[in-house]
Amino acid sequence: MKTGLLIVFTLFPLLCQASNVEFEWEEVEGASSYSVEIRNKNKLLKSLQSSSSVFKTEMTPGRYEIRGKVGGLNRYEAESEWSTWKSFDITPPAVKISKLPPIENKVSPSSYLSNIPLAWTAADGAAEYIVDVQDEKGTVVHSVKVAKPEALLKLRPGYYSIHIRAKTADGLESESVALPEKIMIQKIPVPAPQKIVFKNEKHSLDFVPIEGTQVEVSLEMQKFLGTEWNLVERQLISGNSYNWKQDLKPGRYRLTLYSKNSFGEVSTPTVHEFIKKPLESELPK
Amino acid sequence: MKLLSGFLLFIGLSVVHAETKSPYPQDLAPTGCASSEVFKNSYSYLKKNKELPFNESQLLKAALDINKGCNGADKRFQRVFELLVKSGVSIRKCYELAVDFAQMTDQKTDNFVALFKGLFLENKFDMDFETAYKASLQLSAALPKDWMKVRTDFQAFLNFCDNTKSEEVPVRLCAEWTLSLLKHEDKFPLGIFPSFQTLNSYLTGRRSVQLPVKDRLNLIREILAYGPRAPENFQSSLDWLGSKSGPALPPQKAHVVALEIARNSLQVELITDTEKSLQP
Repeated sequence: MKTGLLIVFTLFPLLCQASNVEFEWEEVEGASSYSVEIRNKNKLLKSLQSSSSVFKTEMTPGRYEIRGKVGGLNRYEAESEWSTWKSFDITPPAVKISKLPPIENKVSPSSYLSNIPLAWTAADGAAEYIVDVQDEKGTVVHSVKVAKPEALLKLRPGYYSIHIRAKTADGLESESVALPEKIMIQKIPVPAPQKIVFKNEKHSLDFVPIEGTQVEVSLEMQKFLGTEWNLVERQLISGNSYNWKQDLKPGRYRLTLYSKNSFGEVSTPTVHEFIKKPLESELPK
Repeated sequence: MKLLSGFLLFIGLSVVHAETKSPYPQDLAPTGCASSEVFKNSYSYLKKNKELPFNESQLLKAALDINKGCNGADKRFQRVFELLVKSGVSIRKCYELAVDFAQMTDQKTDNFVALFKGLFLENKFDMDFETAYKASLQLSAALPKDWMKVRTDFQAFLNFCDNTKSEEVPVRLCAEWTLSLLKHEDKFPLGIFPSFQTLNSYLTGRRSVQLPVKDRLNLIREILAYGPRAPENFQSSLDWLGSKSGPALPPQKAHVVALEIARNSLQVELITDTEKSLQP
């Protein structure tokens, strides 16, 4: 038989990040038993009875509601009414991140991306994981969500720290855990085009381009005893040879070659100079 | 109308021509400069030239500068200016140097043009521009009396180098020898090349000591630096030192002594130790 007695049911979930959850409440004088019901989204999940004010149960992280009542308040074994539903959260446990395998600290100028493979322990109740990449100022520059406890980040050169947290389907997030080591990715400067072979008679300059780059060639001319270099032409070449027009005027010529990647980064210049002389027949007698 | 205009233009040109024509017979022509003609030619040439960005006052000044060179100055200016422009020289330098040559003689201009072409062009000595330019200026300007001799010798060396060129003696190295030999041109009244040729034939023909071409040319250069008597002194000493009528030295030793003797071919006033001790 239910009594009209209302009790203040103060619940203390003690270890809300663990799968074994311990509940404790203030003892009610004269009570011989305690009943507890736990529900999630109006669906009753657990109905428990205990003679003490503490009990343990296994629960997955999530958002729940709990209510309780006491029994045996008098000799008629009277029961209190159910308390009101009170919500509580069990947050997912923090993940444990495995040590990073060796990563590509210096990245190729053709991509400027380093692959960072990450793995961590699965968090109980996690529906997804959020990986935040922060720059050295602490600003999140990159954030990914993954369902499994692993991710492959592709990072550009920079100095980063990585933080991972688990998230339940209810939107509850675990404590964020930082990767112990910071990640530093350096750029490999774009190398200059190599092994230049100048063929004056063929009006060509052969070079070995750097993979993933194009070669920008500038042809400039300076008159003998002059001081200024004047641009004759500039070309962006995808191949390995530059040819210039055959009817260059006599003077001093300078070929400047740069490797250029798709990010607009350029190498140091490779310079080759040559002279164009007049033919005897072109000069006055 | 067109016919009339053409006729008037013809009359006009005839008058101008009549005015500029010298009234003197050729053999009685007065000495001096035809400065008016030189000025007009220079002015017209400069005005037509699109490379020179001269305004009117600059044109007048330039024509007057050229005019200071007297007869032929306009031609010398044009020749040097065109040579340098077509060789790829900066227009300012072309102008400055051409004005300089306008003030010089035709012979110096001829020498400069011949030397510059010979030293610079790919099918000749193929030297770098700076060397060719400086050497041709120095050689053409420094030897006012021997202008024809320098050119003849230069051409002879050019032919010699072309015939001798090999991996051991490339044309450019031969060109450097030529330039160093031409510096001694003033010591050789008949030109330095005949002496070079005689000495070269003598050394090539010696069977006892056969020098590699490079060493032979270095030796000739050294001997010729001691003047026109040095080749003869070297040859005669070398022959005598190795002969039985002389000390019959072994070829290498005879060679060293003969060179020592050749070094004394130039008459120099020596200061003795006694004289040195008397100097304050």
